[in-house]
Amino acid sequence: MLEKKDIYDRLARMMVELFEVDAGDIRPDARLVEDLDIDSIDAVDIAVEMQDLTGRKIHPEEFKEISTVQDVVDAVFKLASSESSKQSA
Amino acid sequence: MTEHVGDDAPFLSTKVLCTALGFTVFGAAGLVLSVTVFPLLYLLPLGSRRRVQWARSLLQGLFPSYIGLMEKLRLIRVRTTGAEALDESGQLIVANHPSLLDVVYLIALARNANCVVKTSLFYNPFTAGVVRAAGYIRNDSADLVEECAAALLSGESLIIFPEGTRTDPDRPFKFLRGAANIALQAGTDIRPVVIRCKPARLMKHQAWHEMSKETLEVTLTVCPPLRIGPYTDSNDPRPRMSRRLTRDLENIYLGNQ
Repeated sequence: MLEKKDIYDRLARMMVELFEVDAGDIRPDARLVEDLDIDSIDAVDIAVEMQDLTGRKIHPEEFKEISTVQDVVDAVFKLASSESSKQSA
Repeated sequence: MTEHVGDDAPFLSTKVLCTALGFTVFGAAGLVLSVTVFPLLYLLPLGSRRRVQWARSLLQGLFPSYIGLMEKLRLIRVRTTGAEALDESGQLIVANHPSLLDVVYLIALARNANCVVKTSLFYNPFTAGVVRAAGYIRNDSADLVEECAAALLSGESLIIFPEGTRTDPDRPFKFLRGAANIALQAGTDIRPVVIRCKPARLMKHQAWHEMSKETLEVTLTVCPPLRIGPYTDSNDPRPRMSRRLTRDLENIYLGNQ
C-alpha cells in the first residue's frame, strides 16, 4: 500500500532533480507556483511521474484545485487508494 | 475638470487629446477592418493558410502607417536597429513588454508573424476581427506549447512576450518559461528583441492620460539569435533545460539595460 510519505518523497526528489527547487524550500504548505516556481508545463511532468506511482492516468484538470505540495500528495494518495480498492474488489 | 492644474495644463491637454486620438484611430481602424476587409478575405476563394497570410501582410503594411501617425502626433519616436533580421519568417521572436504598442512595432517588422495574444482580445470588438483573421494563438490554449511549435515548424514567425503581461516596474524582471519550452520543442533559435522606453510610459498601473511632457523615445534592438543547438544537444532533462534557457534569455535583457 502506497504511503503518503512515499508520495511526498518522490515528489520532493523530482522537484530537486528536475525543477531545481532548493530542498530546504520544500514543505507541505509550500505553494507550487508562488513559492517553488512550478508552472503548468511542470505540472504535466508531475502528473506523468505520479502516474508511475499510482498506475492510474492523471489528467491535468485534476491538478486544477491544487496549490500546495500537500495538495499534490493528498490528491495522489486519494487516486492510489481508489485504484487499489478497485483492484481488490 | 475643476481640479487644480499647473502651468503645463494647455500643453498637457494637447498631449491628452493627441493620445486620445491615437487610441481612437487604433480602435476605429480595428472595427472598420473587422467589418470590411477581413470579411472580404473570408469571401475570397483562399485557403485558410493563405487568408491568414494575407491578413498578416495587411497588418504588416498598415502598422507602420499607424506608428508614423503616432510619431507625427509627437507621442512617440521609434528607432530600430537590426530590423532587417525580422524579414525572414520562421523565427521565434521574443521581446520584453514595457509598453502598450510593443506588439504593433514587432508586427510592423516581422514577416508572416503569428502572435500569442490574450484571449480577451478575441472577444474585444475593437480587436476580435483582427486577431481572428490573422490566426493568432490564444494564451489560454490547452496545448499552447505544441500549437506554437507547430506554427514555427510550418514556417511562420511567432512573437511572444514571455513576461506574460506588461512589465511591472515594481517587480523583478522575470520571464515565464513558455517561450523556452516552445524553442526546445520546435528546435528553433530564439530571436531576442530588446525594447526600451524613455520615459517609462504606458506602463502598467499608469492610466493612458498620465504622461510626461516629452515624446516617448522607443528603441528596438534586434539582437543576434540565441542558438538552440547547445540546449537541445544536452542530455539534461527538459525541465532543467527550459530553466537554463529562460535564465540565459533573461540575462540578454538584463545586460541590455
